Amino acid sequence: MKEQGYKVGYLLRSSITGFVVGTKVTEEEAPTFGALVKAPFGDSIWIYGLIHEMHVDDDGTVLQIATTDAIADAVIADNRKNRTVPLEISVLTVGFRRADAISHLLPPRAPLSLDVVWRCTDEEVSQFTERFGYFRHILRNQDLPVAELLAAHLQLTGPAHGAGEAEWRRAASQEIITLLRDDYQTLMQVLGALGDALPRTGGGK
Amino acid sequence: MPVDYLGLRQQAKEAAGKAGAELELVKLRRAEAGALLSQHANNLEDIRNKVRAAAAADPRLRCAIPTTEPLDQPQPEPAVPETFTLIASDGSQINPNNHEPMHYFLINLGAIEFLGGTNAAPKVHTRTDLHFAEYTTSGSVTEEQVNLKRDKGERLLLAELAAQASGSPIITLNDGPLELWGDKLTNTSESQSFSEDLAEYLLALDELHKVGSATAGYVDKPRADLLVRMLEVVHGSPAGRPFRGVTDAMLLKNILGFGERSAVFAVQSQSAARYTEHRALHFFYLNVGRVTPWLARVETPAWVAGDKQQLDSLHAVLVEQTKILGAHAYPYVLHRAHEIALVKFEEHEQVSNMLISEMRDLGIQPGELSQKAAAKRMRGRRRHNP
Repeated sequence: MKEQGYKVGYLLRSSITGFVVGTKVTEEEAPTFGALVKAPFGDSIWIYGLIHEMHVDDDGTVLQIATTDAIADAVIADNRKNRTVPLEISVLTVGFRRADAISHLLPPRAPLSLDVVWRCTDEEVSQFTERFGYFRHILRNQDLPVAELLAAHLQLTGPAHGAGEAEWRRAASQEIITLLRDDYQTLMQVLGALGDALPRTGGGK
Repeated sequence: MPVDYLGLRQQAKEAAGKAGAELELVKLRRAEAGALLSQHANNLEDIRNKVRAAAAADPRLRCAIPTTEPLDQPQPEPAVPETFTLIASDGSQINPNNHEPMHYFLINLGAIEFLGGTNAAPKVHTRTDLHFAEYTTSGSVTEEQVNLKRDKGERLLLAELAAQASGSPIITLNDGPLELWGDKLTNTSESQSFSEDLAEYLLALDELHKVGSATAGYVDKPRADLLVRMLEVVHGSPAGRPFRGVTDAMLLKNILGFGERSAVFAVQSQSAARYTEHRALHFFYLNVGRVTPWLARVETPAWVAGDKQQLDSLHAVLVEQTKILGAHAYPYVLHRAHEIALVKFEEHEQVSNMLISEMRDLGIQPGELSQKAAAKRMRGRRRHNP
């Protein structure tokens, strides 16, 4: 499947519920925590996901270098640019698109190794997040930093809705409150994080 | 069957007991050799004459020859040049294996070009050469011949990159001695191949000389006793080996402070005689251990040994490089060159599979894995998981 836009990296491993992307640690434009990305499956399906984790593994060389008093810039550049130390980006699958139909169900298949993973355009972000069914994938996952992820996602996604940003945020916050009405502890955490991320709306208005 | 640990423990006890006594003896010999070094520190001409005479009596003598610096005088770490180009190379290989379905070997060379005084990421280079179904008149290519080709390739790559390098000074570094070793190559075909490789290597050295590169071989944890052998000549009993067991590093480790190098020495040996005039082999020891002494031997050709500016640049840059990896006092660029060059076990498997696949595509049936190799690859016992 052809795509124009910003390439996040190559898919390293995947399952139905998520995938991991590898990219160079120097990629300054790499998308951030909470951003919506997509991986292709075949010619007609895009699998969408939210970035929920990024990590860089160490190795013996890095550990040794880190013990020195001052590290030369050239050595840092060598380790970031030349050594095979990828930035691993973990993505939570939140839905898929077949032709023009967007679904917030899990995709029928997992994406394949070395597929290119792309950052979504504002238009795609707006279309995919028009409804909030995908929130359940975030909220059911106990291992994720749910509050921080939702706050970052709402902060990043709002501008994609243009003039409807404030309304979208209000509706999204309302949906979260409804979904978490039986989980007071998580709800308070999420509202607190939203308050930090969205000071104007404060998780509501 | 596992190792016979019961029997081994008794052997280990005996070995440790013997080692203690031997170490005491070596300590005494080291003290005596150290005293001789101080006593003759300035008798350079006299020592040169003695070595010359001893070499005439025993052409196989391999020892150090003093140049111009007093034997026991440490040389302080010079200032690091503001800018420099440091190029290091290393190599690894897949050796030919008669148990594999095909006769092939592969040499992988890695190099790194570090631009000192800049923030730029170093440039990295890789060269991979596959040699398939290559035989000599005496049979298959041997592991020794592959090692030789790898060593030669590392040094040729340095010459190639130094010729393209900008910036000054240019310093090139390989892991191990500067001398190309061919002494294990015994039959006619191997000797012929060594002569050809050596000729190519000498030309590469000339190229490095032409571009004014401070060229060196870096030997970590050296076991050599070239200096000690020289003192045995001074002692008057080179054949009796009165200082047996003492290494040059043991002799110098309490003399050289961190960052200091020893005097520069030339080399007396039959094989070193292949390196004449500006290529003549020299060496010095360098203490790169900040907390406890850790000596490396640095081999250079005559054109570097005789040029104070080049020698100082090499000395200073090496000390700086050994600081980068923290507690592991080893030049960063050599570590990186090794990383770049290393052929991992999985890559070995992939190369073999690629060759088999290409042969089958052409309708050629590859050979068979030997029964022995196949048996070694049998799966180990598995755990039963109910």
